[in-house]
Amino acid sequence: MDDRDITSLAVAFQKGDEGSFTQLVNALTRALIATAYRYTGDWEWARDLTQETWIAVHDRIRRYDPARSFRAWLFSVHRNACLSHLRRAWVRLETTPGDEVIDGLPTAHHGGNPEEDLERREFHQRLLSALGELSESQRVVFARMVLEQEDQNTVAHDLGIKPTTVRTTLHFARKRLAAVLRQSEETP
Amino acid sequence: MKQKVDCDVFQEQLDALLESRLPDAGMEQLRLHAAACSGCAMQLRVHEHLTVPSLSELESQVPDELAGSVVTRVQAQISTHQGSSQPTRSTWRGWNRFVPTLAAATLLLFVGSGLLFLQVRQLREQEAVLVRQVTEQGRRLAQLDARTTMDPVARAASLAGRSLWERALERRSSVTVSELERMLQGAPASTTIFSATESENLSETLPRWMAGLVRDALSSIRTDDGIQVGELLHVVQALDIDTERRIPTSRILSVSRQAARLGNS
Repeated sequence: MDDRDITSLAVAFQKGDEGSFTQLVNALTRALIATAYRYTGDWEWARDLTQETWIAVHDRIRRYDPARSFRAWLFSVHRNACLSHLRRAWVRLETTPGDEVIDGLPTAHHGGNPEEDLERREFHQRLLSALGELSESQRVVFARMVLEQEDQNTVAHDLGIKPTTVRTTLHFARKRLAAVLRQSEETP
Repeated sequence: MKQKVDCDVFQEQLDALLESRLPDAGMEQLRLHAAACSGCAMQLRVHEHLTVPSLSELESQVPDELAGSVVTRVQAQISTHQGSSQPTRSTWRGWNRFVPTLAAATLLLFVGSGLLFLQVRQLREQEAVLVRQVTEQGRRLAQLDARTTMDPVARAASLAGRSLWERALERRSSVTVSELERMLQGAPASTTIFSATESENLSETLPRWMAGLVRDALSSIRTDDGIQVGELLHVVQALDIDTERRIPTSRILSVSRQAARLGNS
């Protein structure tokens, strides 16, 4: 389903067609879960955030501007949910690697090695904490460029800054993250 | 100086890698530099941790039952939403300069919960752990059926929590916004303060003009699963309240108790 079809469904939903909303959910849920997984490193959180996004979209569909790409709008709503998730200190403090695994669900990335999987999860938790050390603008740029693999010019346009500023901000964010992670390795 | 140049080149190569335009030779150079520079090595590790597999590959790895459960949950939750009336939201814009002490007090009502949990953690750590577990369970139950079946566990946790923080507030005549914010930041953010019904009833305890204001302030968070400490912190930080504003605790307590009475009735 291309962007135009998706936007058409969104417009139909905006006019009251609930069936179109269901089609949108069916078509885009996997992409949303994959993106949320990038943020959380956890399938269950990814599911909850995706659910939260769809409910928000359902509630706020009147605010959607049909002149814009629905997919872009949807992912901006999703991004806000994911970034809010990152801001919640309790995620970093209370989620222990392995606690949130759904029984029977495969975990992405690993090759069936539990030790590697655990190491990945621990690193991801430290990475989430380190993201909290970035400034808001660094966090947004890093999330859009690295987690969502968005184009530099798109990010620059949306944020109203120059592409070179996006790149510089990304560089600062990477360096800051690396510094915080290295520090956390030295002081376990 | 040589190291500086190499690190700058490394950044450019990492950009190219991000955009999938780094040739094999560049990749080799990137790894050579990372092997000799621990800072850049960590950047490369972060990059690979977050971008491998690609989003499209990751999308194909999403378990079918997980995607299916989202569809089912969303439909169920929307059905529940449609069965209840939606509150009318008034315009937030323009009200900022009219925010009176009582509006701030209402928001601080939520923030003040931090007082409670700091003390509980210090004095009765074991009890706080149990409340957190109960509340988490309540949150999951509330997601399944937030409106039709108000989960008694989360409700009990919120009542117990409110009772304790009210006692904490009674010991003081007033508090500032910054004091309460600091305390909230130190509290377990997932703890439910108000159940969904109590959250709705809260606005009914206020004058009509203020009820709309509060609803708008809360519209950026989900209240159908109750209101948690972390959400309240988010709301407060989104508002431009003078952090040195001092609020009489009697006003906070008055609103809190009235909301609790309505919630119980």
